[in-house]
This record gives sequence, structure tokens and C-alpha cells, in this order.
Amino acid sequence: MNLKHSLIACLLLFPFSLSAQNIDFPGDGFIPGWNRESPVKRFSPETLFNHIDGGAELFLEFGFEELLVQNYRSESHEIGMQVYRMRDSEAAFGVYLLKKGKETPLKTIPARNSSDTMQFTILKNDHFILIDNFQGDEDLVPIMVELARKLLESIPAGEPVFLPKHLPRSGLQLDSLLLFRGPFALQPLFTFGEGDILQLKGRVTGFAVEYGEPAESYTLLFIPYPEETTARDALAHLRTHLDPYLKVRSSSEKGFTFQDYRGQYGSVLKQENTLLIKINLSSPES
Amino acid sequence: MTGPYHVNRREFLKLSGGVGSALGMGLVLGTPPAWTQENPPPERVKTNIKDALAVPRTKTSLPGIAPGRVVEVFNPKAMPDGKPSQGVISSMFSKGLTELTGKDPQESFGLLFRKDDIVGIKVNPVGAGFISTNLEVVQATIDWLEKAGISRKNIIIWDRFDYMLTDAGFTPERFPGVGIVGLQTMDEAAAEGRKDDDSAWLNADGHHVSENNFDRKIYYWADVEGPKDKPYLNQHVFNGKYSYFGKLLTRKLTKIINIPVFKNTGSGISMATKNIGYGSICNTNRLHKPLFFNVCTEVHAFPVIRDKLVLNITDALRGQYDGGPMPAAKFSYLYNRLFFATDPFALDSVCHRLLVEKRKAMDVKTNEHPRFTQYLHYAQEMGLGIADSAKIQHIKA
Repeated sequence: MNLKHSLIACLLLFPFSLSAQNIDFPGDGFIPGWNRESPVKRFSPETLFNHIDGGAELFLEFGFEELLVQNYRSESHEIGMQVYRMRDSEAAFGVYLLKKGKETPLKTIPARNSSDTMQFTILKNDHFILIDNFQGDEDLVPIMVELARKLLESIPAGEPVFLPKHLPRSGLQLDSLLLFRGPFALQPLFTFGEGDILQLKGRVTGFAVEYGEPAESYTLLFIPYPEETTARDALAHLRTHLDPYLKVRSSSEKGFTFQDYRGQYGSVLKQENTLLIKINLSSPES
Repeated sequence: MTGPYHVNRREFLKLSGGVGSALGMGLVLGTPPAWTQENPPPERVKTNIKDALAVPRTKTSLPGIAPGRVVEVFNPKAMPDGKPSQGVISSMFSKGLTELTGKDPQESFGLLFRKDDIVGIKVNPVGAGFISTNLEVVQATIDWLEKAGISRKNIIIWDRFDYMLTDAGFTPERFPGVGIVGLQTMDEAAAEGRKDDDSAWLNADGHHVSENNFDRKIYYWADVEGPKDKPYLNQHVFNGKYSYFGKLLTRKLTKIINIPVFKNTGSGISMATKNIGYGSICNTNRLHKPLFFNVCTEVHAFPVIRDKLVLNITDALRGQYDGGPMPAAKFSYLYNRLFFATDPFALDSVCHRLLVEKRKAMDVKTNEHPRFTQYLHYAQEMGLGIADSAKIQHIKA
């Protein structure tokens, strides 16, 4: 069974990619006194590290297609705009969730966003957008909003991205949701081992969410693989290359339980084509 | 719920069985077979670290005159309206030096330098003007060196990339008489695909124009190849298994002052040891994935760094707790601090802890796995610095 094809519930986005050539950046004088600083800079998957050396891997892992950078300048201020076109809407959503920080939306921006004086983080369709206020001047916020609004006009809205049907709902804290397709997105969550330890290969999307009250909370990693065999192979790979700081407490054909370097507990369970991994448990599962 | 982010809670509740129930039941456990035994750590990529360790230490070798000592200077008036105050920063600079060495700035100079030294100031210009090394901190450093007797022509502000220095404000106009050197050039327009003409960075014979800026005899070797494509070569000068040190370091500079910024890179930090580790050599991108933080340690073991790096000042006037290493204004904050140490590993140990505290306070996912600080302990094993918190003296001035 492929859980990703039996989705319900919430969230954002779109299955269709949009050609980068259709992006319509606001032109000179979009607001009097504000002009483009230079022609649009373009970065491909091969050259992205020229723009974010040491930070490109996360984008590439999710599925990066192209980055367009356009800065704007007035007499005394500068605003930067970065438009990342990702392989699909889920990829853009994954990057957005990792980059948004505590979500603080501006209602005047017609797309999902997390914005403050310094930076707007925006998600629309398969695009992830950053608008930077380099000087942090509050007076620039209306200019940034105008830039965002004009840019977003050239990106069509999309269908929601859904949570997997079988992801447990009870106690789920949706604000904690993160997506991952490889080790770079997984890094802030937990260390299971080196490299692509869960065999996601940039194609399988995992969902990480927190459950429960603070006193009895845990994080669930829900990874629906396309086939039962790939889930089985991923479990085997995980067992073989498990991080040496994780101590296996017990195991079976379907999975194992472990204790981590902090003394907290976790479990790994394969169920049909899905790996379900619990981490940050204060006590071992029975 | 705000925005186009709509949760159907009833659907959640309706579907809270299924796999969730299976999870709640726990696992059916048996006797662990052989494949569940603890795994050995993965084998490290081979490097030429042994060559570096074979060279005898000198009296100026890391961790310098104050192993394990880290001085934190805080002044809430350092960044009025978010702009650096030269007067306050210069005062913080003097205070930090004095606390670090136990001597006044003039006497401190004598503990670290000679008047005929050629001093390189390694800055971090990435994130120009935002989370890059503040010009005012460099100015305070130059003022101190000059007052103590170093000629301006023997002070060189340097980084790996020439254009980044310019973008960050390190120009001859701003620092007249002081050398400003990028180890290499890179043609941004070609790298970004805005032009097909590679002549600004590539010679007719197919070699990068900056090749001669790197010393073929002094290198960090790692058993991993760099990509062969042009964009990589444009940015990294070479693409084999060798990362050569800049000739500026191997042949000209006699001492180095390291002035990084206070920011994260993923769950780790990109501060003192990364500023040198990835800033002193070429052909680095190939190293990120297989070696990453270990590069920060191993590069410091080579005499060209180990015996010349005498002072580290982490510019934490502004900090960035997430989104790094690229600048992310959203995650930046005024921190109004400078950190001083001769021992870059003790310095990074303290700053790593402080950044983790900040990430937690800001509710950012924080992975505290030992892998993100192992390189600091690796340095301690090699005698390059102190990483054990119990052995670090963190002084708040």
C-alpha cells in the first residue's frame, strides 16, 4: 500500500512545477525610488553552492531546480529577494518548514508566510521565497510587502499538501511538523547514523511531528516508502549502520528499541511499507 | 488557524487509530540476533593529518599562551540602533585583551607578537554587512597593533575570496595603508551563468587564474575528489584530492589573528575553527560531506596555522542562531559581545554551548548529538586546544 496516495487532512501546496522563466520580478520604480540593483542572478543545482556554500545541500536534498536572486536598492537601503524553485510542492514545503522559525504570518501577504522586520519567508506552490531587509529598518516592511505581492502574482496557487492518512492524529502537535528527504533535513531532529541512513534518496518524504504533553511527549518520524521492500531494505540499512551512540535494547524482525546518548529512549517499527520511529521518549516502550 | 493552513481536527481524531494503535502497543520483542549488536563507528576518510603532527611544535603553537581560557566581554551599548559603536567596541577590545592575558593591551602585544611580525587578520565576509565581521572590530585590532609598533603595511586583512572582502567593506579606502588580500578570485557572473566568457577566472591553458596564489608544497590532502565541472573549479581553484594553503599564509604572514562571527551551521557552529579551517585552503566543498567539522580541526594541526594563529576574537555583536551558515536575518539578534581566546577550540566550545542555549530558548530544533562537538575533543586529543568544559575557564568581563 502506498500511503502517500491515500492522503487526507491539511496543509498546503501544488503538484505542478512552474517554469522559472514565468517569474515576473517587480521592475524598476515599482515603488518610486526603488530599482533593481543588477540583472537577475540564476543558480542551477550545479552552481547553488556559489550562492550558499555550506548551505546548498539541504535544498539539493529536497529537490532543487533553480534559484533566482534579485536585489533592489533605493538611495540608502537594500532589499534582497531569493526565489527558490523546487522539484515539487512537497520539497518547497519541506524547506519552508525548516526555515520559517516560529511562524509569524503577515496577513497582507497572499501566501503562507512567516515574516518579521528582518526577513519574510514565503511559500507558494513549488516556490520558497526569502525577502531580506538587510538593515532591519521597519520602514521597509511596506516595501517588502509590495515586492512580495507583485512577485506572488506570477506564481499560481496550488492544491494542499496532505499529511499521510495513517499518521496518528491523537495528540499530534501540528506546529512541530517537519519534512525530510535525507540527512540534512534530518540533522536537527536526531542522529541515526552517517549519510542517508533512512535510505530516503531525496525522493521519499518523511514526516516528523511531536505528540503528547511536555511531561510525556515524544517525536514520531513517519516514513511511507513506495514499496514494502524498500521499507524493509531501509530498516536493514538502519540496523547495519546504526549510530554507535545508540544502544539497542531489544529487537525483533519488525524493528528494535534503543537508548540514546542522553539516556532517552526510542523505537523503530516497520509496518507494511512504513517505518515508524519514535524518539525522545522519557521511558522505554514496553 | 491563521493563513492557508487548515487542520481538520475531527479528521485527526477519527484517524487516531490504525498505525497509532500499533505504535501504542509497542513492539513484539525477541532475543537480539547478531545484527542488532552495537555498531562500530564508520571509518574516517583518510587525510594527511599524520604529516602535520610529525612537525615539532614551537613556542607559539596552539593553544597559545592561554589554553582553555575564554573571555566574554558584554556591553549593551555596543550596537546602538543596530550599528556598531567604534568607541564602545574599542573599549571592549582593550578589556577583553587585558582579561585574556592579565596584562594591559601594550604588554599583551608583547606576549603574542614581535614588532617585525607580518600579521594577517582573517575575517569572515560571508553575509556581507549583516553577519560578517564588523569593520569596527577590525579597526580596533589594527589600532592596537599599530600603537604597539606594527607598521600598517605589515597588517593584512584576508579571506579566501577577494570579492567578498570588497562586498563586506574591507576596502583600501576604509583601511588605507593596510593590505587587503583574497586568496583567490571567483567570477561571480560566470558562476551564476550570466555570461559564457570564462576568461576572468580561467587561463587559456585551462587553469584557474588564482592557482599561483596557493602553495603546492603545503596542503591538506583528503581521499575524496572534488567535482570536475567548471562552476566548482571557478569557486575552488583546484578539484583533485589536494587543498593547498594560500601562499599568503605559508610565505608571508608570520602571525594570524582570527575574527569570525557568531553563527550556526546546521546543528553545529560556524565560528573560529571553521573560519580558519575552511578559509585557509582551496578545494573545500568536496570536504563538507565526508569530513565537515574534522576539517576545522585538522587544518589547525598544520604548522602554517598551528604556529601562527595567536589570537581569536569572535565577533558576537550580532549573532545568528539558525539558518546558517548563510545569512538569515530572521534568526539574527543583537548579542553585544566579543569573545577572546588564544585557544580557538576552547572558544568554539564555549560559543557552541551558548548557541545551543539560544536555539533552545528560541524553540529551534536542537540536536545535541556528540558528533557536532567531537571535532573539538579531537583537537584536544591532538594538543591543539581544550574542549572539556570542566577544564575551560570562561571569564565574563
